[in-house]
Amino acid sequence: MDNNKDSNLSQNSNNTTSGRIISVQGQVVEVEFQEEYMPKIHDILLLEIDPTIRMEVIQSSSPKRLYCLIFSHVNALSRSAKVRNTGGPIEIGLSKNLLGRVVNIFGEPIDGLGELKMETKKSIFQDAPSYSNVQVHEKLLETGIKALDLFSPIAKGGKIGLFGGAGVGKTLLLTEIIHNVVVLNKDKSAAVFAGIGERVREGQELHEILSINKVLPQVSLVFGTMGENPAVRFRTAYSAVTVAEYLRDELKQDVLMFIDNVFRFAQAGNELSILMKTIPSEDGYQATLGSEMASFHERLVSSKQGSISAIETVYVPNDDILEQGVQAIFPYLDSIVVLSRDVYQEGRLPAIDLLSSTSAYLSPELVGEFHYQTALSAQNLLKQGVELEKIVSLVGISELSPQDSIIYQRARKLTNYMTQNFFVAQNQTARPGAYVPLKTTVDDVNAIISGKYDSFSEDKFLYIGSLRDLEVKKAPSQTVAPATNQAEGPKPAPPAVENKQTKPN
Amino acid sequence: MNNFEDYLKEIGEIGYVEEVVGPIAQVSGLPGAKCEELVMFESGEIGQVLSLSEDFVEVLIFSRNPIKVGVRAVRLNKPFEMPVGHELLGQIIDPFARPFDETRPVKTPKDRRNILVKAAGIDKRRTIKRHLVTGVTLVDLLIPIGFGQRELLIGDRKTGKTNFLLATILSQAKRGTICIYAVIGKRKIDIKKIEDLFVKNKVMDNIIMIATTSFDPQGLIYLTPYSAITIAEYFRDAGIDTILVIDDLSNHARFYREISLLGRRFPGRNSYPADIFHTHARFMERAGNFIVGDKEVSITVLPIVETNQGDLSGYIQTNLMSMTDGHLYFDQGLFSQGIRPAINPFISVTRVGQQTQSSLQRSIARELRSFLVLYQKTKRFVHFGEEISQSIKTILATGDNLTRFFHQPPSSITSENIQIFLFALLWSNFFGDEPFEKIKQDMDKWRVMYEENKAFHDNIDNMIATSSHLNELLLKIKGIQTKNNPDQKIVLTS
Amino acid sequence: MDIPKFLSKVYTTEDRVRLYSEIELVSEAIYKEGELNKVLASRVSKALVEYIGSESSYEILSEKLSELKKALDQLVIMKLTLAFEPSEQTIKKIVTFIRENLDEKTIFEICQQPNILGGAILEFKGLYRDYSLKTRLEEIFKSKRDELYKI
Repeated sequence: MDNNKDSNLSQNSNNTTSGRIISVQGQVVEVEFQEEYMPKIHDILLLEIDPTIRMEVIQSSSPKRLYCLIFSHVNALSRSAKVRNTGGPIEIGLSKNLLGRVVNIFGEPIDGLGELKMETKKSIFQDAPSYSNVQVHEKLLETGIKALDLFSPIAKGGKIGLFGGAGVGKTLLLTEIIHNVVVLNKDKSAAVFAGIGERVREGQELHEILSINKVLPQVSLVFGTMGENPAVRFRTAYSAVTVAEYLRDELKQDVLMFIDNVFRFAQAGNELSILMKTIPSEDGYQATLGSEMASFHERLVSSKQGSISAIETVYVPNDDILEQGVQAIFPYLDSIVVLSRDVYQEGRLPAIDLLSSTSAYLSPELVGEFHYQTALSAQNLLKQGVELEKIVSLVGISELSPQDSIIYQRARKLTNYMTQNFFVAQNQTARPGAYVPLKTTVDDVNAIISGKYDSFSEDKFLYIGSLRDLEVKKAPSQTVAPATNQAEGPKPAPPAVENKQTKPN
Repeated sequence: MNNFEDYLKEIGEIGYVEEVVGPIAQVSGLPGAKCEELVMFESGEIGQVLSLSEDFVEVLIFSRNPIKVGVRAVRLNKPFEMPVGHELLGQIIDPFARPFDETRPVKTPKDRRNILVKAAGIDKRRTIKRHLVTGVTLVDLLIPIGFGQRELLIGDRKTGKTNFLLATILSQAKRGTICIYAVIGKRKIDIKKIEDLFVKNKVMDNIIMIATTSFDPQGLIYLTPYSAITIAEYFRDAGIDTILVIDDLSNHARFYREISLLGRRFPGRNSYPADIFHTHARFMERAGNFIVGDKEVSITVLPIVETNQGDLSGYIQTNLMSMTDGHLYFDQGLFSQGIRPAINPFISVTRVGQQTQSSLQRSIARELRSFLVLYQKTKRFVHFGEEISQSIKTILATGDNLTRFFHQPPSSITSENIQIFLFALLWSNFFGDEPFEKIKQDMDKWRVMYEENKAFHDNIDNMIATSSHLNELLLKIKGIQTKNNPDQKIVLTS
Repeated sequence: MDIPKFLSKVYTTEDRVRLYSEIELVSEAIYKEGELNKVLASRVSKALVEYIGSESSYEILSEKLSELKKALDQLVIMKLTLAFEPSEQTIKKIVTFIRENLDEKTIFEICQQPNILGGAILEFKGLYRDYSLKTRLEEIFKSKRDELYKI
């Protein structure tokens, strides 16, 4: 009779430096190692029979066992399979060749445009610059988007968050900022776009937009889209930050870091923590949410070598801005733009909630006295407008006093003025985009507040660029339609048909 | 297919069922088991490995026949691969491509595909450019959909979502697009009604129905959308556009939650498993507009999700909204007012639809949208008992007419161009103060004429094709009326 | 006698089941006056008696029994399907052979299935190996089918 000596049978393996797989649940793998050869946190382990399968050590599960995140598909793993420790963390290949290319979490190209030559490799886990190395930059970054530049200005080296629920225009706003800052302003900065947990379609469209506008060579794209497993989505954020750091420190450039979308980073961490059976924290999130956000954001700072400015979208699940995954991001942001579904449904784009959007940069020192005062007056006017709106919706506009009426109308004009056509939405709306320089915006807003445009009807302010457009055109649309947008009452229907038609039977 | 004993000898591993909880079996043994691998029980039932723990293999059972503790199990060393091919057209199948109706055997295609593959990357995709005609005027004009788009249908129960889908499928099936209708855990009678409609309209040959009833095993229900999109990928790779309808994903989420909780996964928000987003996202991302060879081929997905009392901010609902490229909101309020389809054009969104429209359509959409906003506001004003001026009356009349114009009975479809033409007539106040019933009669006559009279048909098509803005079209119409051109007179006087 | 020596005398699952009930018998008898010796004298196997030895302290005895029980729990089972019913000697031979080569605490579950005609089918830790005569013959028939048909 044959003996049964199979390699599977002798469990006390003679090859003791390797570990073996104990269990697999979702993207979390439990491995066991002998004490002397225990890997450390963040070490990458390879499956011996297929070294393309990689996993990262995350935490202990029990004295000789570790939880690991697997980045590849789990269907290659079986229990007792051997794993080998590489001794180091995920490294991403870096070189200036990254600019103009799309890579994944490992720095491997996914745009089908051939191989990428690397100069150096770095761990995706780096420390934030030392305190002495941190620089405070004070230069404004103009976006050409009126509501943004006025109420939530961004400075180089700062961080701005675009918050909104599903379908209110976050990605569109982000893309427009990329277009205006990188394409139009011909900013010499390098840019990194991190696509974390978002749609592949959007990634492809962005790639196309950048390519068509010939600015792709300035941008490095790192994608971990929503179809990827949570381990990949989670770590893609770190890979992207590493690329940004490289551009800042080695190529000594100012870097614009665009992230779509930071919430997915928190969500991926949540998915993984549940698999590791950690006790959940507020709203069911992982206990480490705060430190994960910190480790990510604290690296996106400016150093002596260059600045990193971060423009991030933040998805608000269930439209609930109090959700912990969203709240955890606030402490790291300087400027906040809130996109609201109500504004969206009124047909105002960008759907920015003007009174909720703020910025720490809105100070006389940074933006100048004139801008600062204008912004304050504008907010004041808008607040008054909101109060008066309540009265108007109850008793009608004719009940307002003459002064209140003027204020109400100016507020509405200002709100309408803040709508803007986007370049990147042109093929959706068929209306040409507009870039409005900051100075023009501030001057225009001042003019509206001080009453210089009281004689114009409020609908004329919708979707114009600067107020100069008002003088040039007569009215935005000239159809023989029954009516166009009006607040007070409809325009009388122009005679569409001269003669009453004989009825066809 | 091999039997149990064959696999036992071939693979050389055996397992024993130690615990059974609902559709999940814990199996001891099977040391070489891998996740997503297929497992066969002694009685012939199939399951799939969900996870591997130190002592057990967790298997999701695809059968309602109870699996007894102690029964032997064998692994098949392969993942679940479903047969796909053109032979499936015109059939109703289950996620394993077995006939849904046992009395009607299905020819099993030879090709097999793994149903749990990763979505294609950006190098295989192209921007969405082609307009997908649904045949429902409100959508085609105001909330257009493109080939390759994922448009969510969201709303309370019984607000007409399925009817809208059926209209879309009829429209597209008539044009040769292949439609895959996936029913997830519904009643048999509902499935029958849908099939009957397709048969009655003679479009069944372009349709594949993949169905699971609520009585089917949870594991099977869970697989349904993945099987459906695998079939779609087959046709995509063969160069054929497909539309995939998922009815519905809220059901799917519930069944997946059931499986997860029974499998002792820690409950997350609303007790859904933490990976519920990923479960749907990995499916949704497999749709889109692709480049196959040198041709652009698309997979369009129209998933349904239910809401409770119109609450759009539910967990599953917002998850799906953030995965899809827009949503059509079926409003309970509109539905109870008798409006069909009960789609709310203000809340509905299409992120990539407008870029597929012609400039004429876009200009119409713009005018229409701003008018409708005005119409809504005006209706609200009227509540104050203020004096109603003539201009307000006009707005209300036009708005009411438009609302009735958009009204389409369930599953009725209309041709685009004639609708645009009729809309332009309405917009230009061609009918004056006539009651809408009379207007409707005339419009119906014209619609019939469009289908039957070639000269008329071509005239209309020509007018539409040569206008790039609503104004141009309106001028053309005006020209017809005042010039009284003999050809066109047929149109207006017959 | 220490535990490893004891375990080396346990060959089959039947042996183990019997030992479990014997252990239970002894455990119950410990605290009954006079019972223990009666039980040890006539109701349990020699090996167990030897293992217990002359232990008189009740606590230590209990502990020894539970240790033994734990050790028995940890024995790994190899299922052996044979065409015939093996003799004691045969079993001992097989067991010794396996234990020498596998370095495991293995015991056997022996099943009898005459229709395998000969050889054996082994199951061990989820692995399944069919060395039965029946299967070999089937394979031969399959591969030499053409030749056989000529006959």
